Amino acid sequence: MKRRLNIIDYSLILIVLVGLVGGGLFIMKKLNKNSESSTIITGKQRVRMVCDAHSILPDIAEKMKVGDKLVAKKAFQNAEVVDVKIEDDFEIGAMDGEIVKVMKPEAKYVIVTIEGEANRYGPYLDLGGQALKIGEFYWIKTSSANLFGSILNIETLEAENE
Amino acid sequence: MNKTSKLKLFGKIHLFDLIVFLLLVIMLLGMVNRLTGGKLISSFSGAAEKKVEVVLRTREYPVESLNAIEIGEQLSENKQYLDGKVTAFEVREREVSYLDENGKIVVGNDPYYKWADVTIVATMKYNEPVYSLGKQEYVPGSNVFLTTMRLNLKSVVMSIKEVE
Repeated sequence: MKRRLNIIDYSLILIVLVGLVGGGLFIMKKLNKNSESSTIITGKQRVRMVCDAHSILPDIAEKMKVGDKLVAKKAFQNAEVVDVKIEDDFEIGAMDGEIVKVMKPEAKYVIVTIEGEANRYGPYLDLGGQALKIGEFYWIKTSSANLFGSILNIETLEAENE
Repeated sequence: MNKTSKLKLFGKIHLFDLIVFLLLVIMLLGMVNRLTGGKLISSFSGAAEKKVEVVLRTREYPVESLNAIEIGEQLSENKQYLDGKVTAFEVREREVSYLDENGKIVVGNDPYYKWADVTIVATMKYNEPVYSLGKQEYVPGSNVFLTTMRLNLKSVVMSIKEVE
């Protein structure tokens, strides 16, 4: 039996062709744009970030050590603590007619500097499944301590590896 | 009239073919819209592109975080860059008030948390009367996130003006 193409078959072929041509043009346009300016970089990105955590118990704060590796998803991450500062925590208050920091020695303020390899997709960085953005909360977790803090600063350290 | 001819529109187009055809058209339009970053839908909605300068005031953050803002940082959303950059920023004092030990109200600058006024220049969609960039709408008073590769700072839109 001889089969003939009907109008629907022609339409489907046309749609597929339009899709292929449109998709091809879009990809070419994107590749050209990327090569000109804003290349989408994916892969590993070495970063240094500074995190802080307030209201930490003194005994827990002491457990955060230089050289400790970060832990996430039940595994060590390719990142380690390179600096730790432990200070008395504080609150803002008023005393003798002035706005001052009121120190709270019963709790510690911990500033931790971390260096490591983050995953990068374009403008998105994550380390251990947590997004890296200044202003965002961050769990500073090693095998000895787990502090809930936030990110104060991020530096990208060197050219990305593909 | 046999059974199959009853399922045909105008006696020619099979109903099943028509449904498949419509689904394919919808999928194709969806794909084109996604690949063009929503430009297909916005072109139907009549949105125009405008270059605007927006001043954002961040919520209170430690001064170290605000000093980390860099001029030239490109705006982003999720894993995509947006057509906009940080062009200027200024860290500002934030006034607070507390009761002191004598019960007096004391007003002064917060020694730890500050604000920053950040100027961005971006090409936004303008669908009268609202400007938008990515998924965020920019109207004075709106809460938006100032997001780049390094930043995600809660902010308020203070002013917006077209620059070209």
